[in-house]
Amino acid sequence: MMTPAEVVRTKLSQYLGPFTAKNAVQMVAKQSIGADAEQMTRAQVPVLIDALGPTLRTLLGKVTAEKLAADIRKELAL
Amino acid sequence: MLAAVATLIGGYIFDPETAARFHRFLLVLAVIATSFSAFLTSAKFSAGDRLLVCWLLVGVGYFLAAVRHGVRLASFLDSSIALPSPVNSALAIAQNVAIAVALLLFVLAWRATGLTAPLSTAAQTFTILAGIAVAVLVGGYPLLQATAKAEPIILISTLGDIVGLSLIVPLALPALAMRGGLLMHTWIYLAASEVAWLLYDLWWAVQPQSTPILEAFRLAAVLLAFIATMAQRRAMA
Repeated sequence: MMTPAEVVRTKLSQYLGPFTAKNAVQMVAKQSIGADAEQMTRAQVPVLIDALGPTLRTLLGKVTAEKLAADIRKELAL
Repeated sequence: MLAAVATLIGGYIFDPETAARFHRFLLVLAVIATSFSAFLTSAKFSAGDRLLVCWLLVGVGYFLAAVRHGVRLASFLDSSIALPSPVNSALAIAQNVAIAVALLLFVLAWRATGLTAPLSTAAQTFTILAGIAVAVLVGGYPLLQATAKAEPIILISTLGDIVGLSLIVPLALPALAMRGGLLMHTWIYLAASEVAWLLYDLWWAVQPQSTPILEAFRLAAVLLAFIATMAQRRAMA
């Protein structure tokens, strides 16, 4: 069973590649949740997604970024 | 890249006049396609998206190139067709400024994400500075010549080249960071386009006249930018 962090990383990897996906999740988890990505709970994922929003919007544009965020939420049944 | 190979082959099998028309024809097709594709890509972004302006400027730059080269192609059919020199100069300057600013904005957009490449800060700084040094070396002599001769079009064109070439590494580093992801392709093709322009400048420095190889480098540079526009749309599909 994948952890919430793994689910987010996997979804981001498709666009950002595994290295940047891992770094982005780790960096933003520390900044937004104040915890390591692996300690993130499912309930905290929306906070992470919101914090990732500007980065994803910069690289993918608003529409694709929102679609990706919705995809992650759907995967985690949020 | 078949088009670039075709340019090369055409340059050697055709007589010089036909080769010149053939090269110009392929170039016009390529810049029109790239401009159109860049505008299509920009349309995928929303107001406020950083890359919207980048892709718009790429579209504008190649549109201006299409106008200039299109008129030159038309002049092969009717020699009375020509852009007035000041207009041609203004378009060339605007084209170079648009592309240089677009590439700079791409790099600034990446920096704004806070993401980094899989290199130490020292290694990144070193490679970026090395890239700038190469750009200045390649563009420095033509820049000095243009300054001495007070030729604004060559001056701006060379400055635009230096900016573009300086950004090869800053464009390639995001591609390295995002390897394995769809977005890698956008950034690597943008960087590759600038590498092709670098080769074009180097070849021009060695042999300052239109040759099949020179035209192949130019066409490759344009087509690599075209592929970058498509790669961005593919990532956003």
